[in-house]
Amino acid sequence: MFRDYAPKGVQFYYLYKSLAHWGDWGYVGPVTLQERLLHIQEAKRVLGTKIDWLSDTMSNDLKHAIGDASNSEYILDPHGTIVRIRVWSDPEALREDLRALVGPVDHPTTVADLGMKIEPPPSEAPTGIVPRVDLKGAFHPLVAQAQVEKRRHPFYAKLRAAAQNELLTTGKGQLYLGYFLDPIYDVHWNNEAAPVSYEVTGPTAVSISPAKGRGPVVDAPADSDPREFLLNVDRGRSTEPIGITLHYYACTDRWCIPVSQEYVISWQIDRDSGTQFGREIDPRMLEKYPR
Amino acid sequence: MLEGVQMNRATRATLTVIVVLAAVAAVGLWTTGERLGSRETAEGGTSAIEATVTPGITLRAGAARRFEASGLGVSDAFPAVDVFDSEGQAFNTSRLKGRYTVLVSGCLT
Repeated sequence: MFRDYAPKGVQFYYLYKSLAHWGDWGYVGPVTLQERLLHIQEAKRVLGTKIDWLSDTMSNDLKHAIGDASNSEYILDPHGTIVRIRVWSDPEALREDLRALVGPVDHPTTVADLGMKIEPPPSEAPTGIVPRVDLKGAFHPLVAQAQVEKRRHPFYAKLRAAAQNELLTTGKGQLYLGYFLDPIYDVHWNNEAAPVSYEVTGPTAVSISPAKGRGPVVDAPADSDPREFLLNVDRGRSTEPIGITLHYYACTDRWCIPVSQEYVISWQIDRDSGTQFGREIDPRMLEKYPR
Repeated sequence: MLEGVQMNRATRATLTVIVVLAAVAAVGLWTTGERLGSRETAEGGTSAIEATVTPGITLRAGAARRFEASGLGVSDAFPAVDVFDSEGQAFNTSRLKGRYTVLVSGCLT
């Protein structure tokens, strides 16, 4: 489509938004604009497209303005007016639209014409070594604000926080913490270094157990599996956020550095962080759950 | 979606592969204009088609409601929002004028 209609004066943009599925292919949510721009570079590398990209803001302003759809599609006329709109991209319909609006092309490009080669995602270290935590029941992703202004290093590992439905509705339930290495940094867990550990701080009225924890000792010399923890929380009626400090070693084959980084977790469902596919509730399906 | 359903590791891996393949197909097929199957099924875990936004285009009701709640429709001006180009330079979407423009939202996953 781009190859056929760009020469006819049509401009194409891909709008890069927050991740729909946290952890798929190992990709995790960026915490800075610079990281989101690295995602765009990664998308260009993996997909091999020549289409221009725009990046949404870190507060997801454009995503909100256009209805939070994951893969929506628009055609604007030369005045910037919407002339076609779809919640889900439909290439065949788009081609028909462009044929009607701009005109036909003699020889429409096919997939085979492009010779596209989809590149694999980065693979710094083996996965499938550390068993994943089994989440029982419905979990919702929580707003977890990385304290980027305090950082001395990039957030090589990213926190995923999710609350069991009961924790949000009754104040008592399980809190999931998952630490995922970010593949854009090409780091791994060096298991000869100390395991990942965390500390939770919060209001005294909030009971969290265990408030401190360490990841498993792993026999394999290196891996890139997430480090996951399930905490029992009784927050009563408290709505105060809690703090999480994560300690880990970020390692490549050439260096290994100790890192401590902080997050603030709010008891609010994060509607912009997508889902861990098959493990969490899609925030778009919340009407099924009592609030 | 498969929330509330406990899946074993093999099942999750299989579903992940399906979603990844769907995502790759989405971008690849959009680029070329070939037919794209609905990824709403993969995301929403249901094949139910419950609503129509534009003639001939149908989707799950939940997604449709939120999409329609944005108030955007044919004949509206595309929202003027400050975003960034791929180099991190400021870009306001009100600049999308002067010729026909195709925009598709998406991400790595």
